[in-house]
Amino acid sequence: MNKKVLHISIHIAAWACFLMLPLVFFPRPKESGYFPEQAFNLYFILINIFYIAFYYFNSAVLIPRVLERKKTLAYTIIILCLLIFVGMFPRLYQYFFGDILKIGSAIRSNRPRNFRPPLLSPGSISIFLLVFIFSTGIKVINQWLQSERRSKQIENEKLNTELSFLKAQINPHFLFNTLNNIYSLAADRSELTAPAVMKLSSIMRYVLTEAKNDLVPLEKEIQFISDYIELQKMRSTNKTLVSFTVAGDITGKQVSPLLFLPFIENAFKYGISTRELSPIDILLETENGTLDFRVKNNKHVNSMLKLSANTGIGIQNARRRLQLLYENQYQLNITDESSTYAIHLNMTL
Amino acid sequence: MLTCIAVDDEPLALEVIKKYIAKIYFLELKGSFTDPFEARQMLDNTRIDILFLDIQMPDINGIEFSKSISSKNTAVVFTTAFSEYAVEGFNVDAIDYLLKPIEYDRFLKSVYKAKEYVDYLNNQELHEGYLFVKSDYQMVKINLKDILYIEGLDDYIKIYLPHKSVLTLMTLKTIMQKLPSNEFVRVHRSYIAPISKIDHVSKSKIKIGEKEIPIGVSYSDSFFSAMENKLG
Repeated sequence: MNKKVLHISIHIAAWACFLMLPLVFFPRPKESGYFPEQAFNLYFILINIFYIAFYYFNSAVLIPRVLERKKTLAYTIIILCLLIFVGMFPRLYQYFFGDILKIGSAIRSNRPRNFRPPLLSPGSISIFLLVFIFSTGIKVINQWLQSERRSKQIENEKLNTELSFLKAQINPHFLFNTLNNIYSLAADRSELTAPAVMKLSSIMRYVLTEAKNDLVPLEKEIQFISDYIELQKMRSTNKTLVSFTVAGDITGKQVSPLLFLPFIENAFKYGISTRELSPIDILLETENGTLDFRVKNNKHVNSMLKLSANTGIGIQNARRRLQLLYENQYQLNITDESSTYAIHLNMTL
Repeated sequence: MLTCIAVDDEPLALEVIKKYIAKIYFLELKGSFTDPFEARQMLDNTRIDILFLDIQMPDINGIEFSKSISSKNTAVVFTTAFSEYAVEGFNVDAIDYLLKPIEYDRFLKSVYKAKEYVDYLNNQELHEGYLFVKSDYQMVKINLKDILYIEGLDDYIKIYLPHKSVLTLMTLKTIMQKLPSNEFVRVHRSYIAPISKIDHVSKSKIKIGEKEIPIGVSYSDSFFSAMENKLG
C-alpha cells in the first residue's frame, strides 16, 4: 500500500516538474505580466492533457499490447499518427478556437496580424518526443529489471533443486541390502541386530533432516560416515578391510552435508571383491582451517560396469556440488591407476 | 532330493537362504558361496538342480554368471534387494526372481516352481535320456528308463537292464551325478535304484522284481524323504 502511495506521488511530482517546463523554456518577453494568465490557457491545458494521456496510454496499452506482440509496424504507425496530430495541434487549435494567446501582449504585438502557427509545430513535436522517450524508456527499463529478477529467481531455484537432488542420493541398493542383512540378524536373534538398526536409523535421520541444511557440524558428518562404514562392513566378507581415520581438531567446524559420501560409496562399489583382499583406506584430517580428505581403494575387474550405464555419476555429482558450494576453495585430485583408485580432496572450511 | 547351491556376495544374505533351504526336506544344499568362481567349479563338477543367485555382486553380476552356466538342467532363482534388473533376469530364463528380504513362504513358492521345472526336465530326460558307457572296449548305449538298478563293485559299476547287465569302469558317485536326481536314489553304499522300478519297500530293504536290495543306514533318511515325494 505504502509503495503504491509512493509510486503515485512520484508520478505527480514528475508531472508537476513537467508542467513547469514552459517557465524555463518559453520565450519570456522582456515585459512582465504575461504569466500566468497567458501561459495557462485552454491550449496549454488541452495539449498537456494529451501528453499525460499519451504517456499512460503508451506504457499501459501500446507497449504491452502492440510492441511486445511484435507488431512493430503498427506501433510505429500509431506513434507517427499521434506525432503528426500533436504537430498539427497548434494550427488545429487556432482553426477551432482562435488565437492561442488571446490576451493582448508583447508577443502578439510583435507578430504579424495574420500570424499562423506552422503546419507542423516543432515545439509541440519535441515535447511529444520527450514524453515518448520517457514513457517508453521507463517502461522498457522496468520490464527489463523485472525479467532480470525473474530469471535470477529461476536460476536460484534451479540451483536449489539441483543441490537437494545431488544431496539426497542415498543408494537404494545400499538401503535394501542393509535391511536384508538386518533381517538376517533378526531371524537369528543376533545381538548385533539392535546396533545395526540404530546405525541405519541415524543414517536415515541424517539424510532426511540434517542434509537439508546448507552446513552441518563436521562432527555430525563424521559420525554419519562412520555409521555408514560400519553398515558396509556388516554387509561385506572378511576380504574387505576398511580403515577410517580422523585426525586433527574437528570441533566447531562446519561443512556441507553428505559431501564425502559419493567418494566413499564409489570405493565400496568398485573397490571390493569377494575373491581378493580389498583394502579401503579413508582419511579425514583438519589443520588450520583446511580439510584433507583421502579415499584409496584397489580396483577389481568389475562386470557391474556393464550393467549400469550411469558409471561415475556419483563422483560427477560430487564435483558439481563442490563447484557450486566451494567454488575456489577446493582442490580435487583423482589418481586413477591400473590397480588402484585414489581421490584427494583439499578444501578451505 | 534336489541339489542346490546359493551364491551371494553378502554373508548374512546367504545365512537366510541357507536357513530356508535347511527347512525344506527335499532340498540338499551342496554349498554356499560368496565367491561366484568357486560356485562355478561346483556347478561344473556336480549336478545342481537349483541355483539361488544374487544379481549385484562385485566380481561378476548374477546375470552374466547365469548366462555362462553350461548346464540347462539347472533352474536359476535370482535374489536381489533392488528390483531394477527384473526384466533382464527373465531374459536369461530365470525360474523366479526373489526380492530381499525374502519371506519364507515366498521362498518356498519359488522352490516349488523350480522343482516343477526340474521334475519336468528329469522326466523328459528319463524317458528320452540315455548315456553311453565304456564296456569291453566298446561304447554301449543305455536308455535311462531301462535301468533296473545299479550295483557298485569297488571301481566298477554294474548296470542291470531287463535282459542283460553292463559292467563299466566308474564309481556310483560319478554316475549319480549324470542321472536325474528325482528318479535315481542311493539306497545303499553299493546300490542306486530308480524309484519308478521299485515294487516293494519295507523298513530295511526294497524289492525290484525278484532282486532284494538292503537299505543302508546312512542312506535311509534321504531315501525315505525321496519316497515321501511319491507317496500317494
